[in-house]
Amino acid sequence: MTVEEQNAEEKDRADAEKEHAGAFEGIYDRMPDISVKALDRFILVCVIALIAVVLVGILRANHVF
Amino acid sequence: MHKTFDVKKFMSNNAIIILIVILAILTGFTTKNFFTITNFKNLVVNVSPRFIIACGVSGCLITKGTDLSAGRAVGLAACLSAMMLQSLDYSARMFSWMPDIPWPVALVIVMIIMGCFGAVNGIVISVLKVPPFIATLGMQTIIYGLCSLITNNQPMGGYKKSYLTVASGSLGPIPYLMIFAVVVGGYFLFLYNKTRHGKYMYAIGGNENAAQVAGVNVRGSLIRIYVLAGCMYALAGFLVGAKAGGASTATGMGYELEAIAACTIGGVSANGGVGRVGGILVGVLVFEILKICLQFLRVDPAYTYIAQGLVIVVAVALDLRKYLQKK
Repeated sequence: MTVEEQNAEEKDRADAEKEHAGAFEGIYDRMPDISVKALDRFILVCVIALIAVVLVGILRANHVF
Repeated sequence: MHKTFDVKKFMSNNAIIILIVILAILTGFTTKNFFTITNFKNLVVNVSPRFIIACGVSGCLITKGTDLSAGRAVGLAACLSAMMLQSLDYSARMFSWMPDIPWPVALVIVMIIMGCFGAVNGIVISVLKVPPFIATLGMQTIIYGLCSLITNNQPMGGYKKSYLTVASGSLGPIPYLMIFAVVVGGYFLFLYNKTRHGKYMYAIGGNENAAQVAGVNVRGSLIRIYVLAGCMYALAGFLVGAKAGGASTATGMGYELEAIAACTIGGVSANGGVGRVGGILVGVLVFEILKICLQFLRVDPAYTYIAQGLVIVVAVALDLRKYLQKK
């Protein structure tokens, strides 16, 4: 078997395995293109939401509102 | 050449841990009894079985898989332990014919049984090429069904004193549960860093095809990973049952999501190939400290669930950020 035939066979095997890929396999590769800046903004929003949820929970526990 | 400490990078990589530490410090200063030995023991006792489950799940995650059957496996293990370790003079003993079994023997039996379930998971995933998400989701339901059958949907209790002591006892100031967790942690540290199995696991997670071409027995390694995971769920279920003093079909429900979330917070990448035992411990601690802090602050449990969900989202987003930066 020539090198090209071997490479083609490996590629077919890899493609076949990709079809069996589960929910988590290569999950980041299958996501749409996101910039690091946009992701940073998303993380910041989530962190602010986390702090807000904890604060609201504490304030309600102390019957502030 | 001196490496300058990048504060921004440190803060972005450890954002959740920093937030939880701040929350713990604030809780300690605003409430009574937070920074006490009793609370610390309570934390250790809660963290220990969850850390053991997370160690089991970590191997699956590092190899780009998952194990959604973890929680139900813990429940089944707790029920199997209950069946073998009920007190001889308990009136509602499930199997009156069962002889008195020492708890280490019962633990070994439960680990063998749950290891078999893990082997089935491993074979279905590695040989039949069923996606791990689907395979373990199916196994989750099967285990729940089996648990309902063998327990007849009845909760179990009336344990022997020796079994209860496994969870409530301590060696001096150190709870037995912590000793189990330390032994498991030490074992996984050795396994992941000093053995061929560990190297193969990271290789498979990094690039399965390259690992295969390099001569790694991918199938064998994956089966071993899931068998080990099954054994860890058995140990955790055994300990959870002892701690709770009872078991039912609801035991362990949702534990798999907590374990996966803890692993992700601790740096086990959803993209595979990355993860350390120390990180797993940190992830489990973050989750438990968050819960304990909000309990001390008398926050409604509903807000705790929302906060936990947000922590998971941030953890995955940070993991994705690391991946994008590398790319």
